Amino acid sequence: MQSPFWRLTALLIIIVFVFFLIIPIAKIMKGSFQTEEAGPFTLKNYKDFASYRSYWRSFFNSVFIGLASAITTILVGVPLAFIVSRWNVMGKALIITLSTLPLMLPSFISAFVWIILLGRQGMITHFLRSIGIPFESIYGYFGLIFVFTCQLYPYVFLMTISAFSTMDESIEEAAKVLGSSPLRTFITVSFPLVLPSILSGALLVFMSSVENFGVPMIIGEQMPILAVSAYSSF
Amino acid sequence: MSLRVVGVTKRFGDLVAVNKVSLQIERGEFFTLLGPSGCGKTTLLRSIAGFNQPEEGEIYFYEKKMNKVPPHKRDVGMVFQNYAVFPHLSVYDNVIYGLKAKKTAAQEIGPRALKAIEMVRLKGLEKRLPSQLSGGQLQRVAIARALVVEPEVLLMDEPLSNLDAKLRVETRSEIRALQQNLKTTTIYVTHDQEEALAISDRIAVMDFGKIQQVGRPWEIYTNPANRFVAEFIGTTNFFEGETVSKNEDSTLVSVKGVELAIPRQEESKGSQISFAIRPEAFRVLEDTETSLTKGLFPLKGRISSVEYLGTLTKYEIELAEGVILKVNSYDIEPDKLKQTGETVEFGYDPKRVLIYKD
Repeated sequence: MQSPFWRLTALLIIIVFVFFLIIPIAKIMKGSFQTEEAGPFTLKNYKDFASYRSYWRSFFNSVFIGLASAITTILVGVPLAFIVSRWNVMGKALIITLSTLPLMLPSFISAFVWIILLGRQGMITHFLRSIGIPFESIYGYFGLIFVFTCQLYPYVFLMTISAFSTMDESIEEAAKVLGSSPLRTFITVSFPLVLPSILSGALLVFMSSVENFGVPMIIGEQMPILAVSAYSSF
Repeated sequence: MSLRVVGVTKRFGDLVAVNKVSLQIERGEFFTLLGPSGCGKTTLLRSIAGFNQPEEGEIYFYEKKMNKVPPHKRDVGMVFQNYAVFPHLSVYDNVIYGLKAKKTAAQEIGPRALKAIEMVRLKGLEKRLPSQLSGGQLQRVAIARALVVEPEVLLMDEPLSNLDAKLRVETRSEIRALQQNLKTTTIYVTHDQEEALAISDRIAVMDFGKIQQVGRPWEIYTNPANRFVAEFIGTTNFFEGETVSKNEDSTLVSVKGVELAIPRQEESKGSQISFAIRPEAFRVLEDTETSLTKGLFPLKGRISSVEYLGTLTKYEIELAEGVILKVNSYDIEPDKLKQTGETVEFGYDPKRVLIYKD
């Protein structure tokens, strides 16, 4: 028999789940099959979505930027995690704590900061132009992916660092003793073993960048993006 | 000689893990580093593998100084305590990992890997993943993987300590047989003295980062260099007492009022002396025997505990208040087994006493 405490806990979890997850999503799903004119059930909304090119473009833009951000955060987060967990870096705990800061910061604030630095009148933009580099500005695809990378790499970094630190180091040592160079050891042993964690971090990055509204609102300018289109058609 | 360690010191902060250790290991030798945990044996093994850099001293493979050579260029094989088998690779891919890393010719890889797998009796399990193997099988994969590259030196770091007792005994004789066949120079780390005695050509006993004694198993057991070695290898009875008198071949020592004979010492009467007698040096006498005819020094005491273990029986015999001896008796007939509380006569040959002057 289960104790009353565990039954109560289970009940509480179910209530929270229903109220905060099931009901809102159900409402949205229900709304998607309704319009004011057509009554309780219609596929008109889906037909509209499929027929407007701008919706399609915002869909593909979002997915493309999400995938690209997932890849760039892997390129930044994984080597960083490897260095911090495997080398004797000073202030390891501090680095890990500080690296979570971008996740706490509202993303539109970091977008503003990047505009101050890399916008059309940004400080770095001016500097780059003054030394002859024809840097345009941060707006557009590049800027979105760039800001998402800076903002979301901690997901990959933290997931990977915990995978590296729970991984048995003697497995890497075994590879080295067998004649495998540090690089080959990383590619053939360490990387495949932390890959599941890297991918789950990258999945979080993908989802966060697809659902993100603040950054494309500020940096995307007129680019069609799912979250922005949803907001403007609301 | 195959491998030389000259004056190696390794510190971790203030802790001196390995303290000025020098060793020479012959080609083809099975050499064991034995000691309690924290004695520096694993640290020394890892210095030899190249996983840490000693602050002082040199390590040579033949005439080549290895201090600055990274692990992947040292040509050693290593077997770890926790197996360290690559969990994402099959048995076969684990075994060929080193061959591929060392760029072995493609047509050689297959036959050599299969030979190694056969050697450790894992034939038929080539395609299995590590998660589908038992602990003993995993350690055999690790051994095959280390041996298939034909390393100059095979390093083994407590390879059997995660296996259960019976498997440990089986696997250690397999390891010994493999080593004898291949004649690979092997350095084996263990804290298990019985294991060390059973498989080694030579043993180095370590404590506090220092080598206490190096020798063949029987040398270490029968003639331990100091009190630590005597206590660590096997069980023993330790005594401290004062010399009372001496005759032409023995000296009598008083230990808490009990007089015991030891080989003749030249010290004057009343000097302090410590010595040890192994439990198996004693002989419990039957009623019809007398100690004099056997050339034994006679003792009499009351049995305070009996532990029957089949091949041997362990007695504790109280000679006097606070003087209790551990005495082993081998191969006794059941009706001659002594009981707790019984008074027995027993004796020992003073020549088997080990004397410590430190």
